[in-house]
Amino acid sequence: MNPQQLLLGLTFNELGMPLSVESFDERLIAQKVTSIVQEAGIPLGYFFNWYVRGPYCSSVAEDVYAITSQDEEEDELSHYRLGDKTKSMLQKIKPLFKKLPCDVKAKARTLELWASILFLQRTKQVNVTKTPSLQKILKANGKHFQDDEVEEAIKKLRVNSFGL
Amino acid sequence: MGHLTYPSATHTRFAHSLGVFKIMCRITEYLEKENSKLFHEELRNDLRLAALLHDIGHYPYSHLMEKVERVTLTEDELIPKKASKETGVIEAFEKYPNHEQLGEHIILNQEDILVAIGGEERAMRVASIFQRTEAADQQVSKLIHSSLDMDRLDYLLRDSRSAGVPYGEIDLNYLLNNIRISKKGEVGVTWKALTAAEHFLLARMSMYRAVYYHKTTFGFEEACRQLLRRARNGQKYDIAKDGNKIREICATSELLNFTDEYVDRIIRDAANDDDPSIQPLAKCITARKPPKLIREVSGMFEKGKSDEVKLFVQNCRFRLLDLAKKYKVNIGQFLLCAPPEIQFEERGGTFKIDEFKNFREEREELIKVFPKGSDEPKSLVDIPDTLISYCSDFVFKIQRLYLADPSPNCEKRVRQIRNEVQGWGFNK
Repeated sequence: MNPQQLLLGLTFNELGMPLSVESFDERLIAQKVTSIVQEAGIPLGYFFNWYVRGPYCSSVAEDVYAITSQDEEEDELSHYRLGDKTKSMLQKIKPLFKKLPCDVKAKARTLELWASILFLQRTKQVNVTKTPSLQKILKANGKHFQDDEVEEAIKKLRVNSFGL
Repeated sequence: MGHLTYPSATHTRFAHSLGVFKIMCRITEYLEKENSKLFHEELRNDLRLAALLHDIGHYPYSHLMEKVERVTLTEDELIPKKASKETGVIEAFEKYPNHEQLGEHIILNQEDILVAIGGEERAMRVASIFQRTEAADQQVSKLIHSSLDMDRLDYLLRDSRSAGVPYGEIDLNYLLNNIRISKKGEVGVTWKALTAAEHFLLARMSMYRAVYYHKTTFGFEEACRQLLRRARNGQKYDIAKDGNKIREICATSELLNFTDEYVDRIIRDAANDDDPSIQPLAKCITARKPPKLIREVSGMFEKGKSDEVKLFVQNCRFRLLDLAKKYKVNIGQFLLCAPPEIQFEERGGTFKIDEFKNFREEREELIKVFPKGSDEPKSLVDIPDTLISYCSDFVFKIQRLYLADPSPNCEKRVRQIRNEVQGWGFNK
């Protein structure tokens, strides 16, 4: 694995979120978690574009496949650890991920919403204090979330120091 | 570095940008006639500007410096951690931004460009088009970034003609004349342009194999990429240490010196470096002695099924160090590298075709064709009996091992090493 893949793998371990490519939702979860971690100011080196399901990066997809296809016997990740600075930054956002639903589909949906809000906020396409304008963009891209879901997401992200 | 293999391939990014601009002008003129509600004048001009400026953020030697991190196997990894009992420490740091991010940074921070564009608001709109961060208007995004996008239409033809190879000779005018937009705003080509669209994808594959991934070009590029990465890690030759420094360069007048010469100077200085993992790489380039291809494992693989490649990488990881000792070369002279995978459609993509049918992620990347009698276009991979529909689930992968050895009598050593690695991995 190259250093970027090692960093990604260790980041997921640190967050206590196992990586998997088995289902579409699990791959979507990997995408959105990576995007959220970067939006929190932890540079993993990926560049996200906007696709139908929100922020997406093909390099993340490639790297997640590379990490999950490693032989268990080899377990390369176990020979590396995260630096203290990165670790402490991840610890700050870890509580956010503990609030996720257990069901994979629901988890993917929540993460899609969180990642989309943070992406739109950073790219200055939406003012997150105004739910209707956020909803307009989400709906235009085929995302149908309830107003209370959106408001709850904004609240959670704000509490977890995402600067909204 | 294509010119080191194809000496006439010395065309510039500026000429390419003008070419993309011209193609965009033709398409927007047509689309404006077809759908004036969607393509109003302001959007048309934003699209043209985005086309003209889409590559403004490219680094010296383009992707080579931009993707300095993405190496298959670093020299540190060749010493198995299990054996060394050391724990490697990985820290997140501000990596070099990609060229689209840098493009936005340049047009927002270089005063003359900002004024020429017409202010910050417009510059941000234009950047959001070429960065594909614009969420509000998916159609615009599709037009710029579909597989049939202007960028590819121009570079295939331009690179093919400049290199002097026939493989990128796409039917540009026929494709442009047959682009249509549906009532729902989907962009595609007419049924009669099906062959031209398919040929475009085949041409792309051929150009990658023959030109962009040519073994000599790629060997030079990998030597340069590894050299830059090692120089950066060692903080040598005043090379930008991280993404913040790159952004600083691009926001000031230093940008004018951030050309290929920025890297050429590093290579020249590195040719006199004492570090045996840097000097030979630099000398290979300055002396025009391409790294020697020791072994290549390549083929069309079903997605996720490339055991040969994996086995080859594993062999390299565990056996290269001994090989380096045996033949008295520095471990850093071995370059293990893999060009990005190629696919006929959605290159480097992630989702299998059956998943496309249910989920749309990445789907807008696909080339669409209007089937006979249909008002809405369908993806080429969904049209039965097209070559692309048969091949789209396969990827072309290459894994190569080079030896960067600029010494005059390297031939014998190279032959011996080639014999040693013959059994690493297994070929079809």
